[in-house]
This record gives sequence, C-alpha cells and structure tokens, in this order.
Amino acid sequence: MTGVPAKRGIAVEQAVVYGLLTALGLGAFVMALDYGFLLEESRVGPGLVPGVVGGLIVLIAGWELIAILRGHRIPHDRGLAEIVGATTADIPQGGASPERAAPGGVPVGDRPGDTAGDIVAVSPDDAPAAGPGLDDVDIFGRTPRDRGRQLVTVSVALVVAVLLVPLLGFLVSFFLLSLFISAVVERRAWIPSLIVSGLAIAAVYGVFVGFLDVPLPTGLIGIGG
Amino acid sequence: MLDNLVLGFSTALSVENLLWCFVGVLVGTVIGVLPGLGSTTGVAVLLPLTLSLEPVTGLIMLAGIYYGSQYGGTITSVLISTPGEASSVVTTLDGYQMARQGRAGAALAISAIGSFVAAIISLALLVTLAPPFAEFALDFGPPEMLAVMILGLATIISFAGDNRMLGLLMALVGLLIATVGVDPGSGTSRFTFGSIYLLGGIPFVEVMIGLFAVGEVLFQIRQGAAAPIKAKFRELMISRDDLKRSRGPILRGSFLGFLFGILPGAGSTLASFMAYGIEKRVNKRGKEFGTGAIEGVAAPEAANNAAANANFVPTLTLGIPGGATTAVLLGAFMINGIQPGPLLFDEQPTLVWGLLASFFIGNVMLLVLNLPLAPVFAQILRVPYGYMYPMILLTSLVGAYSISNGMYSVWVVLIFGVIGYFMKRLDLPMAPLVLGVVLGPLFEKALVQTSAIGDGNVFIVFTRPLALVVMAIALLQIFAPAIMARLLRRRRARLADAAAPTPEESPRG
Repeated sequence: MTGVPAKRGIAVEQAVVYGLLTALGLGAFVMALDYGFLLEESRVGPGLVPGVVGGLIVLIAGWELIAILRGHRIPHDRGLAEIVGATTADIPQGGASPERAAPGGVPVGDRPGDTAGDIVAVSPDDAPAAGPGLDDVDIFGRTPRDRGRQLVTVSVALVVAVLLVPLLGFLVSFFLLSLFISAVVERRAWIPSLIVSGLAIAAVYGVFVGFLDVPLPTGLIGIGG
Repeated sequence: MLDNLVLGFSTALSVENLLWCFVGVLVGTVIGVLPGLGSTTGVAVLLPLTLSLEPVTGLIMLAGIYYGSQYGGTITSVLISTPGEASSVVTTLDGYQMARQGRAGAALAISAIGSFVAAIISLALLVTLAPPFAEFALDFGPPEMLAVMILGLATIISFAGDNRMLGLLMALVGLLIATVGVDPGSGTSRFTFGSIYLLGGIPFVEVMIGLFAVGEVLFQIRQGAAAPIKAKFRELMISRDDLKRSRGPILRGSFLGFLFGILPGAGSTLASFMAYGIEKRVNKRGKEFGTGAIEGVAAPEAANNAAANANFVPTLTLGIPGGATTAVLLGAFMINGIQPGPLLFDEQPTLVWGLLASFFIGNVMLLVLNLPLAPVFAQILRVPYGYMYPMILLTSLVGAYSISNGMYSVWVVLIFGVIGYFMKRLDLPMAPLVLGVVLGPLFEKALVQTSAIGDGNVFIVFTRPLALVVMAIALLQIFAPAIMARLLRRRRARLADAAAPTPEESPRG
C-alpha cells in the first residue's frame, strides 16, 4: 500500500525523531546530574527520576536510531495482541491495537473502487492506514503532495490565527481560520463556508462566553468578550 | 451495598445529572459515528467544557461520551464497513455483510440490544467487585502506592500492544514531561529554563487535547479523504429467531468482555476480537461467520461494551486506566482535584456511585436512542470532513484557552498537536505517553515518600507483602501475554493437521 518513496520518507523521519529523542534524553540526563540524584541519607533527590528516565530514553531511542541507520527493521513484539492473535489466528483482523485505529476515522477495507468488499479482508498491513494510502490519490483527486501542502498550509494558518488573537480577538481570528480552511484549503463554496464558520463561532460564543463565562481575549477591536 | 446503589441513583437521577448524561451519550453517539473522531478525541476535546460543572456531573457526561461512542462506532461499521471506533472493527466482518443482505436494521438492533445487556451485566459485576477491590487497597501506604504506580507503568508497556519497546519509550517521554516544573520532594525547579509558565509544569489536559485532537486532525489531512458515504437502510425489524440465536453470544461476549476489560491495559478492542474468535469456535454456526451471521455481530458488540465498563474497575480503584480513553478520563478526575485510587470509594461515595448508576441510566438512554434512530445518526456521515475539522480545531483551542484563561494553554496544545501528528505518522503509541504524564507526579511522590519512610532505602517496597503482590501482578502484566501466546500457539500447532500451515507469527494488529 505504501510505496517505496513514502517508506523512505518515513525512515528519514524516524531517524530524525529518534535522534531528537536521544538528544532530549541526553540533555535531561546531564541537567539532572546538576539537580542531584540523591540527597543526604541517600534519599531520593530531585534529579533521580529525570536522570534515570533521561538515561533510559537515551538507551532505547539510541538503539532504535542505530537500527534504523543500519537499515534494520526492529522486530515488533506484542502485548495482549499476541493472545488475540493466537486465539483468533483464523479470522482476518486489523486494528487490534487500540492505538492504531482508535481515532476511528480509518476505514478498513472497502476502499474506493474496491468491489471485493465481500470478505472484508483486513490484512495486517492495511489496518493502520486504510482509506487512501499515503501514496494514493484520494477521492478529491488530491495527490500525497497536495495533501502534504495542505497540511503545511493548515499548520501555518493555525499558528497565524493564534498570533492574530491579541490583535483581532479570539473569535474573529478563529472565524477567519475556519473560513480560510473551508473555502481556500478545502475548496468548498464560499457561501456554505461562511455559514458553517459563522454558526461554529456563534456556538462557541454561546457555550464558552454565554454559558461558561470564559473571558476570551477580545483583541484591539473588542469583539466577543 | 444497597445503600450505595440508592445513593448512586439518587445522585444520578437529579435533573442536572440526567440532562448531562443525555448530552454525553448523544454527543458520544455522534462522535462514534463520525470518522476521524474517536472516543479519546471526543473526551479530550470536551473535557474543558465540564470544568464548570460539578465534578460528578462532568464525569457523568464524559463517561457518557465514552460508552456512547461505542454505540455510534457500530452504526458505521454495519452501514458502510467503516468502524468509527477501533473496538467496532470486528463488527464490520458480519455486520456489513448483514447490511449488504438488507438486514442492516437487524444488525444494528442486535448490537444495540447486545451492548445494552452487556452493559447491564458488566455494571452488576462492577458494582459487586469494585468495593472489595477498593477495600483490599485501603491499607495502602506510600510503598504500596509506589508498587501500584509501577504496576501502572508496567501496564503502559503492555498497553502499547504492538511494540512494547516503543510503548516504554513513549511512557518515559511522558514521565520526563511530567518532571518539568517544581520537584515535589525538595522544591527545586527542573527544566524550567527561567520560564514562569514552565514552573507550574506542563499541563496534561492541554497535552491530551494536543495529541488526540489537533494531532489527529493534522494526520487526517495528510491521510486524505476516505470513500464517499452511501448509507442504505431498509428494514429495522429484528426477528424472534435473531434474538434467540443471539442470546448465547451476548452472554458469552459480556463475560469475556468484562474479564478482558478489568485487566488494566487490555481495553475493549482486544475484547471484541477475542469474543469474535471464541464465538466462532464455540458456536454451532461458527462456519457462517463472515457471511453475515448475527452471532458475529452480537458477541463482539456485547464484549466491547462490557469491556468499556469493566475498564472503570482499575481506573476507579487503583487509579490505573485500562485504555487511552480512560487515561484521559483519569485526567478529568485529577483536574477536578479527585485522585482515583483505593480511597476514592471511601472518600467520594456520592461521586463513585453516582457515576456507576449513571452508566445504567446512560445505557437505557442509548438503547432508546439507538433502536429507532440509528439511520438518523448515520446521516451525520454526510457532513464533509472539510467543514468538520476546522470546527474540531476551533473547539480544541477555545477549550484549551478556557482551562487557564491564557494563551499559554493554546500554545501547548499546538506544540503537542505537532508532536501528536508525528507520533501517529510514525506509529508511536500515544496512550503510554499520556499515562506517563498523568502518573509521573504520583509515581515520583510515592518514590520520595517511600524513600523517606525507609530512610533512604526504597527497597523496603520488597518487605511489604501487599506491595509484593502488586509487583508480582506488574511482572505478570509484562510477561504473561508472551507466555500465554506461546502456549496457545503451541496448542494450536499440535491440534492443527500436520499438513495445515501454522501461522508462524500472529497477525499484526
């Protein structure tokens, strides 16, 4: 499902993430030495937990990093999933790990154009990310690259919206964010986007300001206090 | 025990609690139906809303979201073979087949009924089992609490399911995040880099919203839109024969689900898979499974609901959540200043029994809602994700703001949103991280106190019998699954014909 380029991309990301984690653990360990592992009478000091935790992070993340750099796939072992696997080996399964499928949105089997939904074959490799795979074109004809660009756009827009809060106030800047995402990023029609965003903001105002009395920042314009 | 139940029902039946329970189960059903929104995300996003309510009312609503979403997840599993919740994945196997044969109504009805029966059975078990469990835990001092925390951390690791090493790594990262701020023992400030915000620590509700809501949305954007929705719905009628056939599977599923749910870390997803697998083996219609057998819907649906309820046993009595959603709920307890654990039943009887009684009421509401209205809920699927995720983002960020009335919370959510995106992308388990953040301060406090009691020797843990028992369970938690799996596989291999190929490795979940 996931083609070679995506896999390579993932491996690079993995290396970066484990590298960062190793550095994080190392930093924590060094700083923890400063806080002191043990107090007098060898009682637990402020540095003990962060130090030990940091050290263990270095060991595990470092191990994973080395394994990835050497091109190894680390064998996965499973907790309770193993029991399930052993008892139910003959049924097709997927998403048995709550972590993978918990977000719920991931359709399993029955992809677009997949008429062979008769036996919902949930092969293990499909489970984490069925629906359009990372390299597939989705139903709106968007390629992975488009979606990557969308992701960056939305992320940047989020940060910009939060930065605009002191100026425009919370509700105005998030109204603009919602409108921008619906109409520009998702290319929905302007009128429904306006209506949906307006209703969402009204609901937020009603619940958080009207009902919960949260003093949302009004910004320089002073709307929505 | 009867007084406790009376107390519980008198709490849960107050107008306010009834109303919020209804809101919870209704919102939960909707969240379960919506792809891209799971119960964990739902509870995390809506948690800030409950902060102004009485703790018991807020928890009743959040718990309602949790079990309500189990019902909602089923609707989409059956109608479009798209599980809204991980615990409904297995329901797609027979449920969707039934829908294709025009029996969607029967499938939905039996899962609503099965879920309801399971909820009631597991509730009765919960009500009988939780107090003695808590009683046993009343003598706990710091060393025992330390052992319980170690059990919690061991849980995390088996919790990770797929890869214990990565689970451990994420738990450690969570523990490290929890150490930011003022040290509980000596008052030293750690990892604050001179920031007054960091002095108070990294707030865990914001971490949860970031990981489970914003991170999730970002991941969905990258993932792309899924298949278009074409829900059909013909007849609702469930025949008497269907009911008769389902009785056994529902009962077996309920007990199995409860057993599984009570283990910290097992959760309702595994329970539903187990129930399906076992039902397939013991049921005389086992061969029809996968072709639209009603038993194949009834058993896992009963199991996942029973497990969702049973998850509250370790959460309430030990303060160790059984799954990702109960981990977030644990956060909800703590932000209300309530520490789940042995003393909870003694100190907060109104809250505990009110909450348990509300499960009963909530399940009645869900049955009434779901029997006639399942097709109506299915229409929610027509809302395009392009409109929905801006709303999820908006609610998450406003909710985060409302926790502390400050933009710091919003930034924490954004940062953890990005972290959550990468964790999902790289398949790093999130629940251990959250549990690490939540249990971290408690673990450290127990450690510091134990070391004070033992005059610097934390190994006095091993001189306390109760603590030893808990530690033994912790060890079991880590090693038992591997051993059991090996035994089961060996037995299978023996039973299987020499010619039949045995699965070398269990399918990856």
